[in-house]
Amino acid sequence: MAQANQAAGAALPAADTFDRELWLKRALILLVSAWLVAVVILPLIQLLSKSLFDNHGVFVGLANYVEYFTTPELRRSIGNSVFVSVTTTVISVTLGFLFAYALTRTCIPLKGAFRGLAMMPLFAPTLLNGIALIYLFGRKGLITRGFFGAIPGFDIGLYGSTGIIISEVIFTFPQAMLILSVALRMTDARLYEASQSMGASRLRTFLTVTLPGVKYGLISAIFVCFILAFTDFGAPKVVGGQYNILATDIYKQVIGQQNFTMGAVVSVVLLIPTVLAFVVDRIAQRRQVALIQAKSVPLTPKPDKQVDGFYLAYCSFISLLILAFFATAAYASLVKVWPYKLELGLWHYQFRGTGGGGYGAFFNSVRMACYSAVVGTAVTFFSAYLIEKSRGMRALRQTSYFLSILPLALPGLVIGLAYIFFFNAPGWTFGGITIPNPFNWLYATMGILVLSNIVHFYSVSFLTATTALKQLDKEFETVSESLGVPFHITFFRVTVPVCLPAILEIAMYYFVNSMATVSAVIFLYSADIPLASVAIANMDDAGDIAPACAMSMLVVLANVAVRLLYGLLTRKVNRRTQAWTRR
Amino acid sequence: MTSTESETYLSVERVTKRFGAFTALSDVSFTARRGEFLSILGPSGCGKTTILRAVAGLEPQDEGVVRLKGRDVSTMPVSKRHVGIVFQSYALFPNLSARDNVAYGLRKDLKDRRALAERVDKLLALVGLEAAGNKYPSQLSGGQQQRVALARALALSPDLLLLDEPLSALDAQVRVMLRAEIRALTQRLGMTTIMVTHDQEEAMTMADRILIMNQGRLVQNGSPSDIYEAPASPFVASFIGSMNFVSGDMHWDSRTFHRGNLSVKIDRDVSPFGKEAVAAIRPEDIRVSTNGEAGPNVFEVEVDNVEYRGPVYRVTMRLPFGGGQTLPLVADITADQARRTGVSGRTRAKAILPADRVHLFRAEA
Repeated sequence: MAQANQAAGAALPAADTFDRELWLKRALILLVSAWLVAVVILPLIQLLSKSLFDNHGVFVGLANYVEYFTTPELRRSIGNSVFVSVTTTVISVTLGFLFAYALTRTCIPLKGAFRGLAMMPLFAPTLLNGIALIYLFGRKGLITRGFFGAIPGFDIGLYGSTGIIISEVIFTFPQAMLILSVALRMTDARLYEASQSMGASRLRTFLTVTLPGVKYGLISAIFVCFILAFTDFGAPKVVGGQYNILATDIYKQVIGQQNFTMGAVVSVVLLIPTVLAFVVDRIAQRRQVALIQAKSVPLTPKPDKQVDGFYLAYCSFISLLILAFFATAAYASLVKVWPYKLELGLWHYQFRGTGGGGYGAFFNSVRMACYSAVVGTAVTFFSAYLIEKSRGMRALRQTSYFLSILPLALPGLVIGLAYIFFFNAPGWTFGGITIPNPFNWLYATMGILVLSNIVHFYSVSFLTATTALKQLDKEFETVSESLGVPFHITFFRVTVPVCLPAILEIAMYYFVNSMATVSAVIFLYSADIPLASVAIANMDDAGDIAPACAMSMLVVLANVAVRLLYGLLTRKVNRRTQAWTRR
Repeated sequence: MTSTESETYLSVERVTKRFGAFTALSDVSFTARRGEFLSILGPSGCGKTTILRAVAGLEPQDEGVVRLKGRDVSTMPVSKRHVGIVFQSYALFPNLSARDNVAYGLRKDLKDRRALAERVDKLLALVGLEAAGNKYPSQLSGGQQQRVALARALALSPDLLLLDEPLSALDAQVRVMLRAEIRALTQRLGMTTIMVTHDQEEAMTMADRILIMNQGRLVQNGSPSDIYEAPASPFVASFIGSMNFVSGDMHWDSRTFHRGNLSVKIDRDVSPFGKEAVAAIRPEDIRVSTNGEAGPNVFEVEVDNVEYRGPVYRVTMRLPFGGGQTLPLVADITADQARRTGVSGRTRAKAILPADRVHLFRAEA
C-alpha cells in the first residue's frame, strides 16, 4: 500500500480509513464461496470417497470399480447410455436446428405459437414423456391398437431403447431449439450480402456462412442434449423395460438393493462424461462471447414461397406431434379404463386407492417449488451481484464464479445421492478428531429438498442473473460509493428494479424445474413429505399408470399456470419500465 | 509546482500504480490550488483515468501519497473522501427520475422532506434543469443527462469535483455550450475540479492548468498557453495542435540549426540542447510569400497542394535541403493571406520561418 509520508499532513483517524463496505462485500463473497463449497464440493467429495469404501465402511481402494467393470450387466449400461444419448442428440439437434431456423430465418406465420408449443415439454416431468408414450405405443396404445381397433395397429416395440430415445428427444428438443435460436439470431446480415454479391449458391452460403456462424451454439446444443439425455432418469424408468442405463442403475442399486457403494460407483461413472461435456461447452461459450461483441447488422429474413412453405409444413408437423402427445396424455388421464371404457371423468384425479400421497404430495411439491423459487432466486441473484459488481478481489470472485457454474455438470441423481451421504453423515473423523456434522438436522426435511433444487438449477439461474447484471452501467456502484450511499441501498433501489425481468425469469425457472424434477428428490424425500414427481414414479411402479398420468397433468397445469403468471407479471414490469423510457 | 504550501489544496505526490506487470502510473506528482480547474490530457491508455481514480480512491495507488486539504487521504475509501464524480457514461440510475437521481446521496443526511426538496430544486436550478426534474434519464437529451449527473455529483458539496471525459458522448454543438457552462459553474462555486479528457480543445478552453500524460507519466504541467507556446517535448507539441519537425545539427556559436545545406536561425536559448536536435515550427507560424522576399529564414519551397479548410488554407510544401532531397512542410495561412499571395499548387513560393517561433527539442534516441 501507500508509503505514507506522515511528516506533513494530518494523519487520519482509523475510522476514516476503514472501508466498511469493502470488508462487508469481501465477507459476503467469502460466504458465497463457502456456501457453494459446503453444498457442492463437500458432498461430491463425500460421494467420491464413498465409492472407495465397501458397505461396511472399510477402505477398499478401487475394488468397487474393479467389481463394477467386471460385472457384465453393469458394464453394459455404459454402452447403452452412450448409444441412447448420442442417438437422441443427433435427432434432437437436427430437428431443433430446422425448427430454430424456421423461427429465425424465414417469414412463416404463427412463430409465437410454434415457439410456445415447442417449449411445452419443458413444463412436464420427463416421467410424463414415458407415460404418454405408453398410451400411444404401449401394448394397449392408441397407435399399437390402431385407434381402439379403428385401423390396423402397429407395434414399434416401445419398451427399451426405442422408448427411451423418443422420450429423450421430446425432452431435449426444446433445449436444442432455444440454444440454436439464440445462435441463429446472432448473425451479421452483411456476411450474407457479401456471399450473395459474390454469386455463391444457397448451399455454399449455408456451408460457409450459416454453419460457421452458429458453430458454438451448435456445440453447446449438442453437449446440453447429450448431458440431459445421458443423465435423465424419469423417462427411462417408465419405458426402459429391461434396457439398463446408468441413471436407472443408480436408482436400482440404491433403492432396489440398498447398495449405496455401488450407487456411488455408478454415479462417478455417470459423472465423467458429463464433466467432460461441461468443460467443452464452457470453452465454446467463452469463444462465443467474442462473437456477440462484434458490431453487426441484424439479418431480416426475406419471404420466399418455397422455403417458407417447407418450413411452415415442418413446424406445423412438429407442433402437431407435440400437441397430440400432450393431448393423448390429457385424454388418457380422463378416461375411465383405458382402452375399454372411454367415458371421460375425473376418476384418476382423486388418487384413491393408489400410493404416492395424492394431493398432499402435489401441494408439497407446490410448496417446495415456491420455496425454491423464492430462496433460490434471492440467493442466486445476490451472489451473482456480488461476484459481478464488486471491485478488486479478482481471485475470490473468479473462484466463486467457477463454483457457481459447476452444478451445471452435476446430474440430479448425483446431487441426490451425494446429499444422502453428506447430510446423513453423523460427522467426520480426521486423524482422530471427530467433527460433528453441522448440517445433519437438514436430513429428511423440506430444507434438504429445497437445497437440492437450488443447487441443481443454480448455474442456469446464475448465468441469467449475470447476463442481466452485465447490462447495467458498471459505474452505478462507484457513483453510490462516492455519494456515501451503502451498496445494499443501491442494490434494492436500482439494481433489483432494473433487473426485475431477469429476476422473474429466474423465479419461474426455479419453480417449473422444481415441480417437474424427480432425479435429485427421489433419494431425499421422506415418507412424511411425499412429492408429486416421486408419486408419479411410485404409482407407475405400482402399475397405476392412469393416476400417474393424472398427477403429471397436474404438474404440467401448475407449471403452465406459473408460466402464464410470469408472462402477466413481465408485461406489467415492462409497462413500468416503459415509463422510464417514454419520451 | 510553484504554489506555496498554504495555497496547496490537493497534492498528488509520486503516485505509482501497477496492474500486474503493466505500470499504469509512474511517479506522478502534481498539486492544485483551491478553486483551480485542472485538465488531464493524453491519448487513450496514458493513465489519465487511472490517476483520476486514484485521486477518487477507486483504485488505490501502490506507492505515493494523495493529500486533500492537507490531510493524507491515501488509504481512505471513496465514500469518505468527499469527492463528486461525473463519469463518461453519466451512470444515471435509469429507474429514478432526475430529481431522485440528484437526491440520491442527500437522502441519508436530509431526513426532512421539505428541506430535501428545496436542496434538490436548488441543485436543478444550478444546472438549469428546473423543468425537467420529474423526467427519467432516458427522456432527457444527452446534454440534460450530463447536467443531472453534474448536479448529483455536486449535491453533497464535495471538496473536489472529478470529471471523467464528461463531454465525449455529446454532439459537437452541445459540447461547446456545456464547456462554458461547466467552467462558469465551477468558478461560481469555487469548486476545485479535475477533468480527464482526450480532447485538446476541451482542455485548452476550460482548464486553468493542463497536465499532459503519456505512457503513465506526467510529461508537462502548465497553463494552456504555456503548453501550446512552449511544449516540453515533440510528443506534447504534436499532441496539442500540429507541428512540423526536422531533425538535424545545432551550431551553438552561430545559433543556427543545420540540415544539409539548410540553415535556420534560432532566436531562443539553445544551451540545453546537444549537437543533435529537432527543430519544429507550428503551421500557423509559417508565412508564405510569392514575391521576391529575402533575408534570414526565408526559403525557396515547392508548393504541392493548397487545401481549403474554411477559415484557413493548409499549404503543403517541400523544402529542398541539397542533393535533390526535400523536407515536407505544412503551413496554415489565413484566407486573406492566401488571396493576397495567390499561392496555388505545383508552383514555387517562399516560406518564412520566424526565428522566434522555431522550437527546439532534444533529439530522441
